[in-house]
This record gives sequence, C-alpha cells and structure tokens, in this order.
Amino acid sequence: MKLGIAVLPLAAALTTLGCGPDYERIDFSSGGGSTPRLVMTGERAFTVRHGVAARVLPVVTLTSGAVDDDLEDRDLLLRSGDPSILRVERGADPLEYYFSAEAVGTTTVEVVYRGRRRGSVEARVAPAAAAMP
Amino acid sequence: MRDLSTAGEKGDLSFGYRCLSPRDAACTDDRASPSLREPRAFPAAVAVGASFGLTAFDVDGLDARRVRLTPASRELARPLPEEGEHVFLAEAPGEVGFTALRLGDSRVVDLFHLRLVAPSFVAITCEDADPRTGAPSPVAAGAAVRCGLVPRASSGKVLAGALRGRWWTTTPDVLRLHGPGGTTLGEAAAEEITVEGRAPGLGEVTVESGGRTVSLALEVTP
Repeated sequence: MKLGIAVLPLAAALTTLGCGPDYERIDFSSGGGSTPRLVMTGERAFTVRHGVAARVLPVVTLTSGAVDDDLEDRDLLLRSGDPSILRVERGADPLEYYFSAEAVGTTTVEVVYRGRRRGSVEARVAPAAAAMP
Repeated sequence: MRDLSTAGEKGDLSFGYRCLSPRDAACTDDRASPSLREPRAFPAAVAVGASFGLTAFDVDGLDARRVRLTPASRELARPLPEEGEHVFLAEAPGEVGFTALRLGDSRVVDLFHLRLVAPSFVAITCEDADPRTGAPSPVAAGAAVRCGLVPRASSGKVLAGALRGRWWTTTPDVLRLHGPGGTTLGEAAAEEITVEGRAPGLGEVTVESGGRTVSLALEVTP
C-alpha cells in the first residue's frame, strides 16, 4: 500500500517531465475526397500540392502500437521548419491543424509531444500541376 | 431561390464570390441580380490574371467581420489590400485554398478552394453584342457602349474574374475611348471602358492584357 502511494506521485512527476507514453510516430489524416489534400508518403514524410490548404488531424502512435487516445490540444504542438514553404496553423477545434502549401520546396514539420521535441516529419510541396504520388 | 453562397469544406462557415466588374462572367450570367456587389456562389474557375473578391457570411456565434480570408499561397492568389478587403489577383494556375482565420486567436475556422485557370482565349465583348456570336452591335455617332474582356478556357468555357488591359484605338476619328466612370483613358489598365461613336465609319478597339493583344472592329452609324 505504501509502495502504491509512492508510485503514483512518481508517475505523475515523470509524465510532467515528458516521460509519459512513449512516442513512436505521428500520422496526418486529411480530407479531400478522391483527391486528398495531403498524402503520407512514408512514416515520416508527406506531400501536398502547391497552393492547397489541408485540414489535418494528427494521430500519435505509441511504441506499444496503440494510438494515444488521451491526447489533448495542449499535449501536441506542430510547427513549420520553413513557413515560406509550408504554413502550419492551429484550427478552432482541439487537435486540428491547417497546412498551407505556400511555395514549392521541401521543409519539415517539427513535432513537440507532451513537452518534448520528438523529431520532425518531412514536408514536400509539389508543383500544382504535378500528379500526386 | 438561388443559393448565393458556398459552404466551407469543414461546414462551419459559408463563403461568397464578389465580382469587381460588371464584365466578370460570374455576374453577367445573372442579370436579375439586384447588385453587382452582391455575393454569389463560387464560379467553376477564375481566370489567371483576373481580380476577384470573396466574402464570408455570418453564422451562429461568429461575426464574418471577425474573419480574415488568407490564401494558402500568395504565388497563386495575391491579396490586393489597396483595392479592398478580401480582394485577390489570380497569379498562377492551380487549385488555391483559402483559410478563414478568426481574428483575435488566429485559429482557422474553415477553408475552401478555388480553381484558377490560365485563359486560352481572350475576347473583347461589348454591351448589346449578339449573344450567340459575340459580334458587336453598331454604335450610333454620339452614342456610347461599354466594353470589357472575357477570358475563356481551352474548352471554350468562360472563366470568371475581372481581367484588366491597356486599351487604345487606332481610329480616333471614329471612336473615342473613356476609362471607368467616363474618366480619361490613360496608361493605367482598366477592366471596362466606354466606347463613344464620334463619326460614321469602321473603328477599331485594341487591348493588351497578360501579354495578349486583341482587337475588335466596331461600326459607327450616322
């Protein structure tokens, strides 16, 4: 019983320090019907066409293979490595982002998950006329 | 009743297209509309090189005046703040997204896309032209007619947007050209001009727009 009382505050402290659920990867789901606005081209890469705006709902997968269903708005921050190529803006709904493909080129979307930087996802803005992969 | 708005892709806002010129094809097909400035549903495509206006409609709990429409890429649609709020110039072909940013917290509340198409043909059209052939009606000496540019896609379909051009005539004895509102026509590009018949004869109106030069023969009758 004493051990349980000691473990709970320790777990809470570790979570606060960024030692919460183990982050594995992030995926971006996007609408767009038969011509999706954003296409994931690998575990850490996606492509959008120049000029489009994509509504993006991020999904975080943990090392256990489970999806982090407890994710809240404050737990995740996405920011563009180069806003002159890809602008990243928050949406009005929780965990909603908008990616605007400003110019052709390649940049990254940096991922901050539960207070810690967890790497980045490669973002490629393809020419407007090019076919999507 | 005709729907004068287009729902956003998220479904939280409605948006409208605003014509900046009476020659914009998105408005000339709707002569019953009470006002040129009245927003309407989005056209199928807007001509590259043309300017156009957009608007957001009020919805429950959100004042459209508290929303800023931002193009995803200024390389495709460039804002023209000097010409009014939410006025843009179509710069390059493609599908361009617009996000509706809520002022204050800068959160995006909805989005939509417009198709921008490079015109394959541009023609001068005047009031009272033959609706089938587009041929202009003769103008009586002393009378005037308004003319503008109509862009078309390779399919022949008319594209929306107010296309500007630099206008002149090689027959000043027959025709006189006036700028918008009857102003003197200078070097500045204009979307629409007024052509006044001066003396009977065959006149010619020429315009240069987007690297194209187009002419129209116009008969002035006694």
